[in-house]
Amino acid sequence: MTTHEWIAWRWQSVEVSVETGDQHLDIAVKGEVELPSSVGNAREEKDKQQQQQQQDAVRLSKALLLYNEASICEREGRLGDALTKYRQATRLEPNIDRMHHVKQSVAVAAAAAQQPSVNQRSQTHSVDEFDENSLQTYYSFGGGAVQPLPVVHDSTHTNVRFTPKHAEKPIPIAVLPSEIVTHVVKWTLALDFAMLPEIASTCKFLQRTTLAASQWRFLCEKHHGRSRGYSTHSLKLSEQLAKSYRNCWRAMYCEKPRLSFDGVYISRINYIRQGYAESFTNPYLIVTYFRYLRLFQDGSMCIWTTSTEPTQALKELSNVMDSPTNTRSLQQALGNPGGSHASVRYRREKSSAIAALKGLLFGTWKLHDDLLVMETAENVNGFYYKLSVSSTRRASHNKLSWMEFYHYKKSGDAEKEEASRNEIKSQRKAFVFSKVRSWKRASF
Amino acid sequence: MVKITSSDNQEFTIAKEIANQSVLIKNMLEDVGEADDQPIPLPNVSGAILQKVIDYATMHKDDPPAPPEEESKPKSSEDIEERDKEFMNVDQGTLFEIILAANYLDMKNLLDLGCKTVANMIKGKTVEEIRKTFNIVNDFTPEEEEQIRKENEWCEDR
Repeated sequence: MTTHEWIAWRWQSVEVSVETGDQHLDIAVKGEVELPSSVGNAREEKDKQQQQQQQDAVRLSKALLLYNEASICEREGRLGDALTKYRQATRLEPNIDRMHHVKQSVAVAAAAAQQPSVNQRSQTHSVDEFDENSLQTYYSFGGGAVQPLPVVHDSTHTNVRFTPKHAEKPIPIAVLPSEIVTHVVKWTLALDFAMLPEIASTCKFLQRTTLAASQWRFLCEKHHGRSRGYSTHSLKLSEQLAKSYRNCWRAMYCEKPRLSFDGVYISRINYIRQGYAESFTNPYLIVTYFRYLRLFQDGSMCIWTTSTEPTQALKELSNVMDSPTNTRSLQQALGNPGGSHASVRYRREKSSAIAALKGLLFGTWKLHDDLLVMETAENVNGFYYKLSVSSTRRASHNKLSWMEFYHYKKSGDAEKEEASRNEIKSQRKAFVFSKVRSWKRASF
Repeated sequence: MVKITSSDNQEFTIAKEIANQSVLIKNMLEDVGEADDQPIPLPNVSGAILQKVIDYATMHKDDPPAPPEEESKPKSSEDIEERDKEFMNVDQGTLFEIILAANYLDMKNLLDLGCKTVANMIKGKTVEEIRKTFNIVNDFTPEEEEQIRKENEWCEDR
């Protein structure tokens, strides 16, 4: 049989049926694999059997690997790759689909057996334990469920430690017990959350520390507990945890809407305007302007509507913003009940230089669940903004879409203020967050 | 005055307010009482490291006591004081020994300072640089590495 013929035969024997309902690829193999007939004495036979078993095991694991890859491809929509891999897998092991299924259900049963102990653990408040099931939940984040990694779920890996890069050199960090390493990682994430992928991909041990529940609890408490603008929820964080976040701090950090303070939200608006027609030409002008929004953790904010391009605008903005953040008097002001207003006043005074920036407004913000409500406090003219926090493909919680936007006359009288409401129907483009590296992660 | 001995039998005599910065020693003193003249053995800390720790405690002896923790207030800031930065300017071996000692002696401020110092060493580095800094090998298979990238990419690019 030539290769060509063989492939043709193979094609006939592989029946591919695509169920249109749930896009499920099902491959059934009808071809039988011929086993080599063994002739010889008993001993040779035994040896051969052993060899065969070993080969089988290798073949099976290979096939399972291919099958896994194939199912990932399939879920990601790369059907061509999936098909190739399914075929390779079935060629190695005709019953691969059943084998895979058995293996999966064993894994699921094992996970189910673990489940009660996990619950018990969280009830006894020992949240510093490694949160094994948090990862599983998070595979589905950002689209496309991914097969769980054996390495993280295998409980035999709890003793993973560092392996030296250069065997002759010591690893000083290895003297630290894992809870202190977790502590170190916690501080690193507090300094710069974007370090998470770097730390997690360094080695298995550090990857495990990034999953520690205490890590995420710290981040949640730091973020949601400290920011003045976050409306106080009727439930404590730990109560919300059980109610809405499956007892997983990591889930809470990922899912609970939050705002970023180490950068600006930028909304870029383009519109086309007809220019003055001069004799033969009929010019159209494309006008671009921006809204820059910066939020501060103390509940104050500033918004700048300008035609200045981002690079220049950020320079101008950092001139103002940096000065007041770490000042004692501001911190004292924050201790008072009307803290965010005090800090607004403070920022405005300190930023007299920037008063020259036309269109810069200061105000306060509040976050109610996923609704960001902002009000500017300039003289008698108030602007009211209502935006909703959502995620984009690029990152989570980095988009603010317009819900409401109006202007009103301040008078202190709620009815009059309501009467003076004037909705602004200018173009509204969603704000998207951009991190500014030189601005420190807001700390106070 | 309080007497303490290190693991290598060096004896240190320090003022009580310095010794009290370690919750471990403080508790021991309360248990043993004033009258006892016996030195307190600290079998987990070497003389050299103990000296560093005492230096730190001496430097911070006049610090106001930590305010009671409130949920809304930050527990500690990410910033490191200049003198502490200077103090922590040591080789990695010493740094981690100090952290261990702080943990053992139950000195929260020093422990946090140590961890923050290490955090600052990690901050801004790439994976490869982190591995190089700490002499750690990459023990992931390429598939695992890819997997972990995927898992964590939601927080990137922010």
